[in-house]
Amino acid sequence: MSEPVLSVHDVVVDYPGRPPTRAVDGVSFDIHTGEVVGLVGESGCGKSTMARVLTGLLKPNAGTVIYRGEELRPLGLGGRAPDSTGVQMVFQDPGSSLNPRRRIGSQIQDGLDAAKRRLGATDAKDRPQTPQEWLERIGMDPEDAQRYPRSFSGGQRQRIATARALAAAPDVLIGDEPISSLDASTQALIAYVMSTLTIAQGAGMLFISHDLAVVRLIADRLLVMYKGRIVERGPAQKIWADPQHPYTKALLGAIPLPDGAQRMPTVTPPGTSYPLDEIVR
Amino acid sequence: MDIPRRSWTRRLWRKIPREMRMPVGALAFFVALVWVILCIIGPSIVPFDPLAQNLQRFLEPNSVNWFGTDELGRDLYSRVIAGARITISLALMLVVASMLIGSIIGVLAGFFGRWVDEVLMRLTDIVLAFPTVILAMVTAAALGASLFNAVLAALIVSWPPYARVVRSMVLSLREADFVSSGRLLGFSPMKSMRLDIVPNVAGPTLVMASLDIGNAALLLSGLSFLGLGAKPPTPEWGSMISAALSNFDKWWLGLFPGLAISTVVIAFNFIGDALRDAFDPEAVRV
Repeated sequence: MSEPVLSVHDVVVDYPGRPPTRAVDGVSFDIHTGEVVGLVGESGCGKSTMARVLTGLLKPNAGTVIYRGEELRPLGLGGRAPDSTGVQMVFQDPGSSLNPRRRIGSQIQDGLDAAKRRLGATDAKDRPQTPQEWLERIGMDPEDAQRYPRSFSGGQRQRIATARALAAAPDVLIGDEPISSLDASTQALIAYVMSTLTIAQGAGMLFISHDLAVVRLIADRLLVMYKGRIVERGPAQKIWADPQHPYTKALLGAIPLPDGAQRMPTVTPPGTSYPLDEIVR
Repeated sequence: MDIPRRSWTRRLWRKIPREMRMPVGALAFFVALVWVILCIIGPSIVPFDPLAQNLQRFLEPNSVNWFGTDELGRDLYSRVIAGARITISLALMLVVASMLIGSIIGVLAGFFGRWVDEVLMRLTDIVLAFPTVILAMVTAAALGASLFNAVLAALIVSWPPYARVVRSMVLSLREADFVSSGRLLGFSPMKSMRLDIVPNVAGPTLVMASLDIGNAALLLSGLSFLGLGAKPPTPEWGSMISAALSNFDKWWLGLFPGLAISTVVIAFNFIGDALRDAFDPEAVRV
C-alpha cells in the first residue's frame, strides 16, 4: 500500500487527576488517501481524544502523529502554519460547530482561503471555488450563503461544517461523531454525503462514531476502540460479519436488525468488562 | 419565505418579560429618553444663561425662576438642565471607555491564558481589592480636581468588572467547536478573536454596560460633590448639591439637582435590567 497520509504511533494521552485518567493507551494506525476508516467504540473509550490528537488540538503525552512524512506540530497560541491546514475536522455538536454570528457563506469562504494559502499556484482547482458552489455540492440552496447558522437544522449545519472543512482541500478529514446528535433518518445521509465528498476530493477520512450500523455502510476499514486501546481492526464487512473480540461481539449484538428474525438486541449488564490484552487481528 | 415577519421593535418588545413591559420599564425608558434629549438640546432651550449671576439670590421657586435661584443668583432650572449635558455625556463616555478597556483586557486574558491571564487578572484583582469610591477619590485627588481627571479616576476603578466578566465568557467560548475549527483553518489569534470571540461576547457586554450608565453618573457626581470633579462655576449636579450643603435651609438648592441625579440613575438601571431580561430570559429575576 502507498505511504499513509496520516499515521499515529503509540499515542498515549493522560488527563490530569489523582490518579491521572489514561484516555488513550498506545494507539497506532494509518489513514491512506482515498479510504474511509471507521473508528467505533462506546462513550468514554477515547475516540474524541484521538480526534483532537490527530488534528493537533491536543498534545499527546507520548507517541507521534506523522502528517505527510513530518511530525504534526500541536496547535500553539501562535496560530497554525498554513502548510498544516491539510488535516480538517467536523465536530460533534451541530449547535456549536458554526459561529452563530457569521453568515455561513463567509464561514465556508474561510475554508477556501485556507486552501488558497496552503496550495497557492499548485492548486488543481478541481473543487468548487465559491461558497455558493459548495452549498450546491452539499445539496443546499446557493442563496443560503447569506443566512446565519440559526436558520438551519442540525443535519444542514453538519453539511455546512463539512463543506467548510472540505473547502480547505484537506488530505484528511476527521469526523468526530458528526452524526451522533442527528436523528436516525438524517444520520446515514450525512455520513454518506461526508464520505462521498471526501473521497471524490482524493482525501482520506477517519469517521468516528459509536454507531457501527452506520459506520459499516461507509467505512472501508474499521478500528474498534475499547478503554483507550484498539482491540480489533480489519476490513469493515469482515468485522461486521465475523467479529473476533468479545467487545466487538457485544457491540454488534446491541444493534437491532430489521431482518424479520425478531431477534432482540443483546443487553450487556452494567459493569461488564472485556479482556484488554486479547487484541485480535 | 412568505411568512410575514414581525418588525424588530415588535420582536424586541415581546422578548421583554411581561411584567417589565409596563409600567416600570416603559417609564424608565421615557425618563431616560427625556434626559438624553435634554443632554443634546438642553443648553439651547434654557431660559437663562446657567452662569449668569444677578442680585436676586435665594429666590424660592416661582413662575420666572422655576427651580429658584442659588447663592449667586443663578437660575437653578437652567443650571440643572445644562448639567444634563455634562453628567450624562461624561457618564456615557466613561462607560464606553471602561467597557472597551475591560473587554480588551478580558479577551486577551481569556484567549491567551497562561501567563497573559495571570498578569492581567492579578492586575484586575489589585484594582478590585480597593473600595471603588475611595480609590477614585485618591486618584482624583492625586491628579488634581478637574472634570477630566474625575473621569480618568472613575475609569481606573470601573474597567475591572468588565475584564472579569468578559474573561469568563471568553474562557468558555474558547473551547467551542467553531473556535477550534477556525484555528484548524489557520486563523491567527487576531483573526480568531475578531471573528469568533468578540462578536459572541459583545451582546452580554453591552447589556452590562447599559446597566452601568446609572452608576457611572452617580460616581462622577459623587466625585464632584466631594470637590474632586467639576470646578465651581460649572453647572454639575454633584457640585451643585455640594454648594447647597452650606445653605441647608434653602430646600430647593439640593432637591432639584438631587432629583436629577436620582431619576437618571434609576431610569438607566431599570433600562439595564429590562435589557438584561430581554437578552437572557433564563436569568433569575429577583
